[in-house]
Amino acid sequence: MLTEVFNTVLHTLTDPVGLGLCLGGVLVGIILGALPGISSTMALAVLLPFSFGMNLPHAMLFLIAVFSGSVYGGSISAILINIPGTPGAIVTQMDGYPMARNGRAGEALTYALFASTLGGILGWILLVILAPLIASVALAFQSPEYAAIALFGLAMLAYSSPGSTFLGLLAGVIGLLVATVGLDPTTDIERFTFGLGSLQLGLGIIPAAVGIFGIAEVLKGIEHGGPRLRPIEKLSRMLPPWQEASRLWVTGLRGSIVGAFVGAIPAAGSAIAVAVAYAQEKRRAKNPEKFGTGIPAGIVAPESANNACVGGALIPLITLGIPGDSMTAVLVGALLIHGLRPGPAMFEQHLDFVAIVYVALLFAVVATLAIGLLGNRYFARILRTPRAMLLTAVTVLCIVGSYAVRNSLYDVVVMIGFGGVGYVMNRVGIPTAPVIFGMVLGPILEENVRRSMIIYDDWSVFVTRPISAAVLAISLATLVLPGLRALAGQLARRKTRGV
Amino acid sequence: MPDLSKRAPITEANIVTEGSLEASSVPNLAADPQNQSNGCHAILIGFALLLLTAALAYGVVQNPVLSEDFGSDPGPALQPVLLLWLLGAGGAILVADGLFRLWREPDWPRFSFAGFREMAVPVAMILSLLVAAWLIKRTGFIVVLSVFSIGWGATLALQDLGRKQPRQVILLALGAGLIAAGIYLVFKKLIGVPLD
Repeated sequence: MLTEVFNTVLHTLTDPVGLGLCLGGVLVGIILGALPGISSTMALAVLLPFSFGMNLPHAMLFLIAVFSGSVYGGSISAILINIPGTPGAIVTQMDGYPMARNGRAGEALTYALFASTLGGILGWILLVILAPLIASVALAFQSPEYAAIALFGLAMLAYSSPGSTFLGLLAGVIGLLVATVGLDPTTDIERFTFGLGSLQLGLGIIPAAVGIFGIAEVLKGIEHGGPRLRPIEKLSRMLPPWQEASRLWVTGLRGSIVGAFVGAIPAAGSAIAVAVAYAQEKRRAKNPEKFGTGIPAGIVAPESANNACVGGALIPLITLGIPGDSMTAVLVGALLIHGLRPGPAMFEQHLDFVAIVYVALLFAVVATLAIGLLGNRYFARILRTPRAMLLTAVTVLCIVGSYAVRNSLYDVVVMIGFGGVGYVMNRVGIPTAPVIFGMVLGPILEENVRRSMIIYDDWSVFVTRPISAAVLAISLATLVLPGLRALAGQLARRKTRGV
Repeated sequence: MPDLSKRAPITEANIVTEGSLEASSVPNLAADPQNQSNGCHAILIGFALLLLTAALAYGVVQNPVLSEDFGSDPGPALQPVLLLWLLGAGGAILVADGLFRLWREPDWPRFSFAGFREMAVPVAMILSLLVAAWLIKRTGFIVVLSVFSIGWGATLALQDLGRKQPRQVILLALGAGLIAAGIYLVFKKLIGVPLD
């Protein structure tokens, strides 16, 4: 087995096509991530179909490169035009843009790049260390534990969704329901097909993700016209003063650790990680009032956290089969297309795949640094891409990409349907990512609940097995405690007003 | 309803709040003053969810095989039925919450068609996408994608530039058409997707 892994790694390291795909993936990822309105998830969803014609190692190299590149790319527009390219860059703009306005745009980009690299490497180290440990524990898990972990993923998703826990949960329920459409995998009985033959195939995760993360965002983007963006193009010097930069190592390390651990929590995502990292750095600062005025620490902390999330988010994916964020949820779709179902068994049966993920992420981090160093001076021009061409191209990619899943127009119609639903959900403030999470977690939950019942024939099995019971208790607390805290707050306020 | 598109601008104050994970915890459907304009949407969405629940429940009821005895296996109906209960309850909570607020809070915003006007272009895009999907079978990908891209390229260019720069609009529309043709070629020739 180890020889096989060694051969895989060696082949990946010496394969020019793979290296080219990695570099290309990072470049395209940076460009798409930098464009406002195209999130990392959207970039991954619309570029996913390009991987259908590749073998698994090439597909992983390409997709992880896009993932890593787009996360860094989000900071470019945050710094140069004060609009975050990706949700993970929302905090970067707070100090990035003022710093650019102060004539230090080039230095701000370099800080973001090096912080991204540091975060990426620390996230990778955590992935390499923690993933085998978690997987070795998870190998002892049986169906009740998996069912409990799937529920925990849903609870975390509802808790960390933007807006309210209730709406996040509602969106997750919709995703779980969507996953039940089609033939039941255990009994082959039709569910929610209403006599339509095409619905027997179910509603695919990839068309749904392309619709929700691609078309829905395009629809939002075409509501109004907009003037062409005018980024700060005068970057002046690129390298920051050594004395200033050398003091920021610890900030980067702290941000990376926060990012990697928050990223490893199922469904938590980079938006939370960057907020936590920034808030933590501000609390520790001697001059917290300087945050928001364009100081390097305000860029380094969130950017290192943002990129550390990439490695962190891959941990629950490859060890438990549960996505760490919306991007890894899209990656699950890619793995299913290639006939792989992520989970702890991968460390026994597909160790070569795990090795590819490790190599791909490290390559992607290094490639992001290299391309960033060479291209940072020119990326501002990307932001001038006319909206008419950009949004039309994304729409065409969505059509062709969803067709390419099974060479079926049915998937195109599914994609359009999810695009429309995602657009309405965005408009009324219901988070959309839980729908895709629900679609990923639904089959895991159902399969393991039913298998548990077939084996143990007793519902109490979920609370009598210690790990399952503990995970269920944490899930319940995740859902109930915020509501109770809010209720207690309301009661306290009423009491104060009464007094 | 908490509407993200109308959330308060990002400031250090609310970043610190989000950093401490407080932002996501309060299930108050119309508490955010930034979102008052969309208050009545909660009721509409609640009714839509109740309708969806009813339609899907019909899908379960009209399929008696789902309710057969599968021994110790809880059967294929377990998860859908439980989820339908949750979805129905969610819809009912949205409607009840909305109606309660309409009754108790006179300042709560009433229904307005203003938001629907913004949706005209996106709805046109969805309809054109459905027409395109229908036409692809009849005329092939390249024709449909080119016409679609040139049409929408021109529409969006007009939206941005107005009618005063016709040359720019034409160039952008043709550029969009060329990109579509490029994507078609990449998928057909490089990836091998049968786009005929």
